[in-house]
Amino acid sequence: MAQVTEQRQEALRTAVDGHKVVVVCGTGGVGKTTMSSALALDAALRGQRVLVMTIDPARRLADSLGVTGKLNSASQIDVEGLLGRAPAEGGSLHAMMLDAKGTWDSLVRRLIKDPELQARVFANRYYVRASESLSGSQEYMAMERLLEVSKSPDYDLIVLDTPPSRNALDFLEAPSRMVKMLAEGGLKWIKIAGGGRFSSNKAGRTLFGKSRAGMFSVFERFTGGEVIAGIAEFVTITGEIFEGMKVNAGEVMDLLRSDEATFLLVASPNRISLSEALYFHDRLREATIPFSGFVINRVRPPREGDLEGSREPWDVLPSRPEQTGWNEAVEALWDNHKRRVRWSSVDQHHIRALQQQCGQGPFYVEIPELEGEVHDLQALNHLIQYFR
Amino acid sequence: MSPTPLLDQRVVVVLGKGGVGKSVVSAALGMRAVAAGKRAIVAECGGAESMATLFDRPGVGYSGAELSPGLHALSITPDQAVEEYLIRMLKFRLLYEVVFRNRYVEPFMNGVLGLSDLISIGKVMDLEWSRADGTHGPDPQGPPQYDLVILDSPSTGHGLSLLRAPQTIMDITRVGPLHNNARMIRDLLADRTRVSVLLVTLAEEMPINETIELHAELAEKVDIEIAGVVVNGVPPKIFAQDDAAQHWEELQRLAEELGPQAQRVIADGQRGLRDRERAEHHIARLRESIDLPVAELPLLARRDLDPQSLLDLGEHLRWLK
Repeated sequence: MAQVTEQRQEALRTAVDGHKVVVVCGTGGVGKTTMSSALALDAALRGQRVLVMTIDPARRLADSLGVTGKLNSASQIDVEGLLGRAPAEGGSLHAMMLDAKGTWDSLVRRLIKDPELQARVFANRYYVRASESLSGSQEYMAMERLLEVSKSPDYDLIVLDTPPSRNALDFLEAPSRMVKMLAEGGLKWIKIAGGGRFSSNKAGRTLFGKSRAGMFSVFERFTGGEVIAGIAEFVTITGEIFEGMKVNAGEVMDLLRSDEATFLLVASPNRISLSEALYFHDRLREATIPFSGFVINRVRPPREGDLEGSREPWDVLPSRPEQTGWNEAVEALWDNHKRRVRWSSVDQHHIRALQQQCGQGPFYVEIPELEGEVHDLQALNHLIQYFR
Repeated sequence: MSPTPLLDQRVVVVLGKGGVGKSVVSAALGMRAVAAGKRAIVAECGGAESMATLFDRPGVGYSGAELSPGLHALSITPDQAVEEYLIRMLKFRLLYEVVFRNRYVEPFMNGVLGLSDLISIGKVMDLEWSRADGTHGPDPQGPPQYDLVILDSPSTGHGLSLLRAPQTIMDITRVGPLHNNARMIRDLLADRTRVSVLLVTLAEEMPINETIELHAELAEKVDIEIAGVVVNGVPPKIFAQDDAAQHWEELQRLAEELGPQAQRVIADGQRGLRDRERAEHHIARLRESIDLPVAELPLLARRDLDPQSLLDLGEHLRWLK
């Protein structure tokens, strides 16, 4: 039994070592960032040059890694200083904290040279909205940076911690959806709006026909005219950016579908989380995306050799009815013990159900529930032992 | 004015970060409402189907289904909600097809304008406006279709933008039917006699910190009643009475002599006490930072959350005002 577990757990390192890019997916709150950082630290300690990219990380983790406030650029983590243990020769750990809005802003600065136009973009309310909350925006930004660093010779391994998502494919599809919408849709929008009421260009109006002008008038009645004008301005002034975006998205997809990349899924050992993990897994398989396995986090470990339910507390601890509260104390401890044994069997039950559904293909690594939370390099280093 | 008790609200928005158990709390609240003789519905967003998973049945979809007697659920997908809304607004399906299903218009309406967030929260409010006789509208006449509407909202960031969507759309549109609809939804959300938010968290450092931040952000950005905080998965207290606890030192000493099985029971006790102490520490921090009622839900050991255990959990929410 122990040997099987060991082989399975070795699979995690094999998956990491065999790829240049490891994409860590999962729903919110399962510990993706912690697991990504621990995987990166593990590989760095074993002598690889590793970059971990994460979006909106827990502040305490960023603090403890010494990368707070350094957004969108890689900084090296002083592993030896923080951990008192140097990585194997050649190994180094770098972290990059991503910020969606910041990346959009830097794209604008890079692609739009005219300062007056830049200012108009930053002031456009649809730009502000799109850069903060447009669906696909975070994912796009992560992919843009990923493509950039994957071309760099500075790293042997890139661990990408993805934004929380119900569907792993969202991460792959959201950027291209967004780019398609912005680039193609945006262009049409300008033409249509320009050919309709928002242009004095009579030729344009004739060219695009009355039906579209009519369509926009319905739309306008519904939303008020300012909306159409505002969006038209947004796509007009940001058009160049979207053209640049289009090229990159396809390239990243090629990289992520190649042999260089693999996907891992992090999940919690409960019914809702594992059913979501199963859903993720099925979508990835349907889309033939390279998938290595599951990391099930915060598992209450199996308790083989524990007492059977039929035993009495008095078989294990003495009864002292003459001492006030003694037997109550023993019974309370016994209840606590039985509860903990039951918790671990619940977790094992859920994990077995997942294994039955997904079969022998992927690996299933269980990370035990640790006391307290993982916010620093020491704690990450402690987690690593379960990767072996 | 004293706040409306949670179960007498018309809409409860269950909000919190990912993985804290919003769906379990929503289901527990729903079961509790049903036990009090109410008809309840839990709405999920973005096509999530956690309710169906909890009740071990296939997805309920946009049309919804009854999960257990009196407890209904539906899963709101933005596309379907937008379609339903616009067809109602525009009266003619053809007009909807031509104008809004247009591949250039639709993504901008949903993506850039944020229409899908507004319509998703609008759908929830529409459940509040639904009467038993099949009519609906903001004027309360006749018995409602559901006594309690529970929104099992998306995690923190998206959940917050759902609640902010009406104001956002109002700011952008200024006039027109969409603006008026957004105002109706905003006004209902702000009605403290009918709608409130229940924050959900865990008794751990980061979830508590994030809840304190979420509370501040919500209070600042959204005009809505916050009923209280539910701390989910709290490790139970081990020694109920002090005269039991006084023997703890002696029991630990004794275990050394009694062998491995006793040591295991004692080690579990040590771990359980530490877990409980940490949880109490974080709950105390929460109480210091937020002046709201706090309900603690015990960490359950059951294999699956069956209807009875959901109802038991719901008991802990009953006193929340």
